[in-house]
Amino acid sequence: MRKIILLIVFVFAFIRPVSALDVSIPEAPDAAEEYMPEDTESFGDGVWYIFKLVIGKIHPEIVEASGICLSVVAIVLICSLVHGFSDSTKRTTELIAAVMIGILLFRPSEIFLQLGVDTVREMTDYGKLLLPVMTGTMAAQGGTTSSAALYSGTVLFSGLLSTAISNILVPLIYIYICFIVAGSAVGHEQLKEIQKFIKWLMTWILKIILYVFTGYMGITGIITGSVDSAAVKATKLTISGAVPVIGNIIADASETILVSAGVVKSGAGVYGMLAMIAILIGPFLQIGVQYLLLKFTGSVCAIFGVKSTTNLVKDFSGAMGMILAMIGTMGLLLMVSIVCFMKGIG
Amino acid sequence: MDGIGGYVIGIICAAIVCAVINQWSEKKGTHGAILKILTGVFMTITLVSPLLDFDMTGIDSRFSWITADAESAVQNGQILAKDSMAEIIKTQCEAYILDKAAFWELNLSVEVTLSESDPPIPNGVELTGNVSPYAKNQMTNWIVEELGISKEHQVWK
Repeated sequence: MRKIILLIVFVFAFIRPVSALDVSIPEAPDAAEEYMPEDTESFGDGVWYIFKLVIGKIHPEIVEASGICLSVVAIVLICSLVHGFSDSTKRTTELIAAVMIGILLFRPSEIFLQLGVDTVREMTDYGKLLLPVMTGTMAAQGGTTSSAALYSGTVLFSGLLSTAISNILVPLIYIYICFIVAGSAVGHEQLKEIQKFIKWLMTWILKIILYVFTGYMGITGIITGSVDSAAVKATKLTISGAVPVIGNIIADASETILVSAGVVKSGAGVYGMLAMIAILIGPFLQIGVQYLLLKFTGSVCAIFGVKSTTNLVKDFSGAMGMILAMIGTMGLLLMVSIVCFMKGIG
Repeated sequence: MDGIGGYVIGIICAAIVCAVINQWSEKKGTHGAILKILTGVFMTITLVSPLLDFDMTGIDSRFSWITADAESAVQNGQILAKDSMAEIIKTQCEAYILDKAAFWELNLSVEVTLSESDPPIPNGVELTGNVSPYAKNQMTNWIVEELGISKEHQVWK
């Protein structure tokens, strides 16, 4: 009995945990902390946790957005009443209504635009911390060519999108807002054409970047994946040709590293995706609620309102939609990249 | 964001100037039509001016910076994998020798050294313990046979 106890003690004393790869996953930024689940091993459970938390916090956002929309409805209602009483003041009433709605909605638009820019910056910054970890673990798994190509592609396209957002899209949204207010106030068709063109241009920029990125990731994944897969097979063949005992030890070690790298990569990927969702969800919710309520307000105003002011409200919701598209595109781009990393080689 | 304000103000001013010219030139016939085209061109240039000012010179260095960063991340991963693999191989080889020593009832401590190659291979061993010459010879031969470490690279202390 004493020998058995001594043997057990001896065995436990010599057991070493096989944590083959010591990699630290970058923590989610402070802003995302409130939405981050404690258990980040399961993606489904994590998303469900974030979703439940978001549903619980949606009420104040709705109340705030509803206040703004009610004010808009009141302005449109007053404008319609004045419009109905006197034909001579029609143009003036429309102009005043456009300016008032413009003033009322410009401030939230500016706040949401800044929020959108900050969110995009936060996602890009977190991506900069997460991507080297994903690249390193994928390279440890044997995907040297794939990981380099995926890293380069993601950094290039996220940088491109980030630059496009801050240097082109944000100014364009400001210009778009100027044009929709001016168009509604003055009633010039040319202004409306330019406004349509700006909206088309913004949508086109986002779509093109996302399409090209997805295409690049897909093609790169197939080509580099097969190269890496062949290299891993060749290495395994070389190892099995070594001295029997050493060959087995090296093969075991190599297998342990491959499995560990895969586990770390999946863990980092799931954590990273949850962190991205946690960064994205708050601002997306705030802007999304305002966007939906403005859409609803536009439809309500269409029942009794003057056409130009109703269109102005709808166009403002379009501007909110563009901010949402901006954040959503960046989030989608980084998520697609993480999924490509997680998919691995071969 | 500092440049946005100036850009928006510039567009508003351009739009006002264009509107005034268009209003004035409405009843001027052919000249009016030409003025309308010119204001259109002026407005377009004002709108796309930030794109014309876009600095393309830094793009080359940016590409090489991204590639260098990718290579560095890949290298880090490879070094990490190689180090971890070396650690496992070293531990397993030492355990393998200690297991045999225990079988022969020898009290030894073992330190295996590995080559710098990829994958790392054991190329030396240091054995410490009070062992008879016969057992030492037996163990030396066994290490040569099983682990491929030559007698010259086996150090007995």
